[in-house]
Amino acid sequence: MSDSSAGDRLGALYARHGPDALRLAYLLTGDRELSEDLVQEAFIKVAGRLTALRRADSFRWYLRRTIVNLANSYLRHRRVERAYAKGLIGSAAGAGVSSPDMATKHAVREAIAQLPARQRAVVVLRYYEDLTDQQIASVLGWPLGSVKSSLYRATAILREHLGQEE
Amino acid sequence: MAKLDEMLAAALRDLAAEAPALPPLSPRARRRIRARRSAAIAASVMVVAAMSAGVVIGAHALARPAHPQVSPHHLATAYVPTAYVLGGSGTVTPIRIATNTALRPIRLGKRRSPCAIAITPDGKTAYVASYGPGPAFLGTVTPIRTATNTALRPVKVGPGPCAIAITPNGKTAYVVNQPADTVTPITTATNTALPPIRVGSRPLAIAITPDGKTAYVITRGSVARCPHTVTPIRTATNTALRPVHVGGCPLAIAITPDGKTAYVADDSQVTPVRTATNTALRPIKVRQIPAAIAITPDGKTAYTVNFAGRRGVTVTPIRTATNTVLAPVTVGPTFPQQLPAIAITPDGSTAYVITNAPGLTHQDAVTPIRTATSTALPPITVGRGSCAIAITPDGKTAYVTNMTSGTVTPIRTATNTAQRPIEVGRGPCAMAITR
Repeated sequence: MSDSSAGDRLGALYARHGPDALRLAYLLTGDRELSEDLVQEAFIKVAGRLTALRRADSFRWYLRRTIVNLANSYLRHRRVERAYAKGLIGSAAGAGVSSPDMATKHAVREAIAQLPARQRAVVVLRYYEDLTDQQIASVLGWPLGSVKSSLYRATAILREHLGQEE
Repeated sequence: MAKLDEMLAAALRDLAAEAPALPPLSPRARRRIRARRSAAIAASVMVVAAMSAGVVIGAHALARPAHPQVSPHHLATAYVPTAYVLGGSGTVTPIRIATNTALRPIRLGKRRSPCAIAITPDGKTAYVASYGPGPAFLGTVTPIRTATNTALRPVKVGPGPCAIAITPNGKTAYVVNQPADTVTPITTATNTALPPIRVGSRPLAIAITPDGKTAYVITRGSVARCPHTVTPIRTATNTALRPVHVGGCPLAIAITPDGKTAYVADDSQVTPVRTATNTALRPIKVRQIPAAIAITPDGKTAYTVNFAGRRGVTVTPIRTATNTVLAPVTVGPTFPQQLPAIAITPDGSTAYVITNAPGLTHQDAVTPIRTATSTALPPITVGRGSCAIAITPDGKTAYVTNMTSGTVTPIRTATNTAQRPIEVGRGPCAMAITR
């Protein structure tokens, strides 16, 4: 295998999985620059460790898990929680709260932004990545019960924050 | 107003669209990937060379850690009342009820996560559902002979099993496979899996009517397919009937002892479902967010455990004759680390609810509620990360699994006092007791 063909394969892999990974990183951190860095770092870790990943879903799986772990690590150590909230709420405000629909969107963003990082990660994996409880437990390395509990708590807090009654 | 889960999915979709464009993979990143790959290949070559030279690598990593507090009498005699506790390291630990001692754990296999257990009505076999690591989450159900505490050959089921229930005649076990949107029936006589039954999207729990004719599966829906439903399964033919729609995202289900009504607790209300016609009755507003539900043995009252925000955890009694809500009982100051659970004694006199211990951070407690008067008794401090509670058939002892502490706490129900915790290894979660 020549170096250039390996390089092309790497570029193709990055182009295929990078955009999804970037969106996930952005939802978890709320920081554009940080999410770009996280994706590169996660890609280095996964592509560098797994030399023979034949199945695309395996690569995507490990990349997603690495993104979540890196994001949690950054949020824990660098305390960028406030930046997250500011970024998300700011982007909603920037869009203009000009109608009841926009006001609701803004309120939902604000509610998501104010969740603790662990609960936000569960919400993103459940409502954006559409993962099952077991998949979320595996991505986060938590027991299944903790996922169910965090998801329930996050939903309860969001419902309370939004004052929603059906 | 749109449903909460639809609003969240839409908001996250919008937000994801604002993510920056993917920057090119930097030359430095490419160099680092190549360096890592070279290092990985070199390491694997070294391992092969060392193994061919007869060197034992990392033998200590293969050694199994000693299990704490294991009784020397590890073989149970026939049908001794036993609690089976699922552990985080792929084990099932039997606890002898008479002596409150842990027996030798039964191992399900490497890297398996046990998640649900049900025992046949004759008490002879426990069925433990578990899954392997991602992304495949290969699911199996391991039958355990309770007379000898030995595991039989696992039965393959769908991926990521999350719940299991057995018909009252003990002939069929139904296993819920959340990622596959299916339920797999297992014939217990031969321990063989029958073809999976397709149900609604993302099933998560199952309950079977006392006459064994219908199994009800609650489904929470996926982002693409949102409807929240309960799907009835006719057990005679193993066919799914038309799903019944409920309001919010369902979390728990319980069926009255007369089998006439299934109560589905979702994240905003409780929906009674008439089992004769499989129709949803008018939802019952509990004004809080229910997480668990249990019904008294006489079927007169259903109890939901709710998250009540700043008011802590409450229990709401529901009179089943009229489907009306009675005054809620406050049982704890804050929400426990795990989802709260509830169990009712066989005589129906007391409901035990897992809550957070007052004044003790990360410490959980069990609050008894006198059902006759709907009054909460003083909480009984147990362990950390309490997640499941089960009561012995004679009603004398309630067992609580403490996930973070790695223990099971027995509670003497006559005096409502906690006994010495039983060490059961890492991360105990679900539990079942033989009859």
